[in-house]
Amino acid sequence: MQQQARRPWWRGPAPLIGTVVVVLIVIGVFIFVANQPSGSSASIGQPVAASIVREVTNVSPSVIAAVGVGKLPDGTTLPNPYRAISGPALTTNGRPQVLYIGGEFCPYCGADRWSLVNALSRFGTFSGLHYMRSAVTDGDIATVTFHGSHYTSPYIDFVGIENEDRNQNQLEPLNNQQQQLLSTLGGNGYPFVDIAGQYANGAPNSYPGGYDQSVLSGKSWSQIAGALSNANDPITQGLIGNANYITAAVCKTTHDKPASACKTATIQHIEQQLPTK
Amino acid sequence: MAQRTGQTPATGDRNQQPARVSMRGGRDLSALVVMALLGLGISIYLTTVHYAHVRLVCSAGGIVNCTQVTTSVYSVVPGTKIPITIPGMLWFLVSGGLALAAWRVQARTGIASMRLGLAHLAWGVIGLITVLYLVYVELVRLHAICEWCSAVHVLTLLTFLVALYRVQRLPDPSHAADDKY
Repeated sequence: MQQQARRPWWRGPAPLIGTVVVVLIVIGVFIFVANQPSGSSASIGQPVAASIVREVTNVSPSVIAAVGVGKLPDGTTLPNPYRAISGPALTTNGRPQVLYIGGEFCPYCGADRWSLVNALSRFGTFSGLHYMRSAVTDGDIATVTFHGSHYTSPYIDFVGIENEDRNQNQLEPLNNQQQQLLSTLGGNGYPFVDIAGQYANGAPNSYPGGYDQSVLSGKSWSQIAGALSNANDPITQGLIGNANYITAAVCKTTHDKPASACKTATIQHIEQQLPTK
Repeated sequence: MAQRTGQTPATGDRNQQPARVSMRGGRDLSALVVMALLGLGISIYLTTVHYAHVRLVCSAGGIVNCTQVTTSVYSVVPGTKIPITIPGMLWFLVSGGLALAAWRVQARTGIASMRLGLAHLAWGVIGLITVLYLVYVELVRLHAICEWCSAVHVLTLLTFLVALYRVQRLPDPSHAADDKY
């Protein structure tokens, strides 16, 4: 009599059940990771994850258009942070220069840096960005630092100076011209942003960081970057609204180049709202 | 002793011919074709919405937020402007094609093709890995879920499970010489 052959294990229910169990475990791990507390200070000084850089520098054009000039958490329109100035022309090899002077401890700078990274990435490419948080006693806001970063663009030059570190110790010194600009146009306050000597931040009724930095409170780098795909998120409304103002001001100095950044209806509309000297 | 599947015995005489196709085998292939059509339909809808710049029919607030997911940086193939729904369409197209090819072979010869079964299973593995990555993006990176995407993910998982189930019931690989397809 022929003996019944044993069915191999892989023909049984184990692979089917195992697959479902593995998928459920993996999803459970994702949910666990997603609900971890916001990023800790242990990440400070580490290179920003490529995924986060990508989320901040490749925000969908539909989101940029939907945000426009952005809104404050109370629903009112984000005030234009930029005023027209008559400072010395800032250029590098004939290209308009965007000058940023700030401190790593400063929460307003932390908020503004996110917008600057987004806006200036429409004209060029950042590399070497590192995680930073504003001082523990000053919001402890997750952000990035320009210290040690590089920026390349065929249209503009960017000079990002972190004058003081997270503990308010001297970090990157200013040259005489920069010190002069900070004191005369920036009122010795951080952050100071000068766009080719034509526009500077600090317009009346505007927020020092361009938008209400409290929308970033308690958020991790990942959560801030991830929010930028949702045009209705208060983070996106502030961060991208401010970035659109910066973009419009820069476009004024580049004569609307490149078209991909400047020739959109949103930026053209904001350009018309920018003050003139 | 009767086999569970009604197809080729798992062991036995090597000269034994593979069994005829069972009704259940036909149902498996039908299920694979139906799931491919459903997935294809959803992918076409999401692709159309992407290019037409119109709003998706779905929730847009809280953890369930289709718009946030489908307009995120992860909604396109990395380094391109191609929406990932297009690779999704191709995946379901190939999946449906594999099922129809297996059906045709079975209808013509009465023999289930192990090669097509394994190809479908391998295709399912690729789909499942991609789906796990996309679920990671939704839950960890974006903190938002898209209903349409979740429907596609479930269809992909079910396609993999049915493809696996089919391979489990196909003739023993030692009879591969019988499988000319």
